Amino acid sequence: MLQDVHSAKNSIGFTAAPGTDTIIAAVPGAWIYVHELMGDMSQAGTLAVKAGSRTLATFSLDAGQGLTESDEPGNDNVARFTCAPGEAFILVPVTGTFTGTVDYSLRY
Amino acid sequence: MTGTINDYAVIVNNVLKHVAPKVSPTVRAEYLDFMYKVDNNERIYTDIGVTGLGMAEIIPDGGIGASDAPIQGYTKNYVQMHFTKKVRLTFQSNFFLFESAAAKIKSSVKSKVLEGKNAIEHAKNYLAQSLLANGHATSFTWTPINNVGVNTPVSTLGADAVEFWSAVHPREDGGPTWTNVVTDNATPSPQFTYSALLAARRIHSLKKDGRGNPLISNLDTLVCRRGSATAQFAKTIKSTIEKGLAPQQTNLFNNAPATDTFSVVELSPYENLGMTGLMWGMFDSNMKSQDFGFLYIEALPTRAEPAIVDLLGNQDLVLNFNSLAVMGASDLRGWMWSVGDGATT
Repeated sequence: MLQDVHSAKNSIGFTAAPGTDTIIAAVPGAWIYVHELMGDMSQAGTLAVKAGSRTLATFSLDAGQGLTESDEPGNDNVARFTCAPGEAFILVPVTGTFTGTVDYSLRY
Repeated sequence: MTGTINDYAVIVNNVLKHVAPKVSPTVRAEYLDFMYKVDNNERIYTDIGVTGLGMAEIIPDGGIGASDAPIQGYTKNYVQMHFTKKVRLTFQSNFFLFESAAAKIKSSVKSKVLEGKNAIEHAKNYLAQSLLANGHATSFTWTPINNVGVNTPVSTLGADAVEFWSAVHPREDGGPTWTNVVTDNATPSPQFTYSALLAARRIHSLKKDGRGNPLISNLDTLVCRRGSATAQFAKTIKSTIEKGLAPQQTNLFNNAPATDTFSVVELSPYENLGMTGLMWGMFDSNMKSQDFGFLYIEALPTRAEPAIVDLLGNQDLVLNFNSLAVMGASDLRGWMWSVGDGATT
């Protein structure tokens, strides 16, 4: 059953170097729904997931450790991470490089 | 000789053009979908609230009951606004476009392209929608979309001197303030979802009258922008509820809906100062009245003035269309509103 509505999903790959990396730029007048975040770290360290200035999650990962965060089963179309209009989807790996992919959509 | 079409190429060429009017079809007064119409011939219309009585009490035998009386509420003045549209064509333009035996624009098209009444209805629709969209501020500057015209300052304060959409509306008896801004969990102004619908109705159910008694009101009508994701999703939620199913349950079809269905009012996408696709609000249609909600107060319905020729000047043809009306709201207790941006309080 439909839980929420949004645009078609889009998958992009990224390489997030240590520091603040904007993975999906803010879209005026639209929410960003991140349905899945996958990747792994080059070195042990923390990875913060942010919506603009808000921290949504922080993970401690070992070198080479994979991370998969996706929508809860049964909650169709309810995003795992949500950025409000004006907020970008940002990753902040502290020491290593986090390489992976995100699957996202927009809610206008 | 056989006359082929090429023998008459000049005669049958496309000197005559099909003049296609690029205007919207007849404009509907959609502001009346959520505004109550008041006919009033005064330049200034004033409304003032008054509460009922507080709850009764229980006294011991021989006791004396406390006195009570209605409380004078808040006052708001509405001053008529002049909606107008002027059309001006030079003598030759008017003659060759519309009057000549070889007029380029036929009368059926003329009536569409010079229809000032539609222009005024557009202005009223747009102003009405702008009041919704800018109701979190205390005022805004209204400008016609194509900038043909002047700027007009518009107040978005209710009779209680607080902006239309606010979490701190005062109550007549000095009791706790009340809100008509949707908040779902910690998110103010959420996008429209089943969860947000439930939140709006939960908050609305807590509203009180001017003496602290339950308002007893039901949000039964959703307002959103036509064709938006909000409108699309609203139809899914509405239809699912009407089928007796819960639109947002992890157990899929096992559960009944947690709330009642609703009507959907879709407003035209004027954009600019109008509604965004994420905005939505709900109101109690039983409170769309002269006492609550948005008012459309009309002194002069849209009128086409007699066409005149500027005989003392350059002989331009001048057409004027006028209406005197004002829009606003005194008491939005029957409404809940969300900007849909997850931030506006």
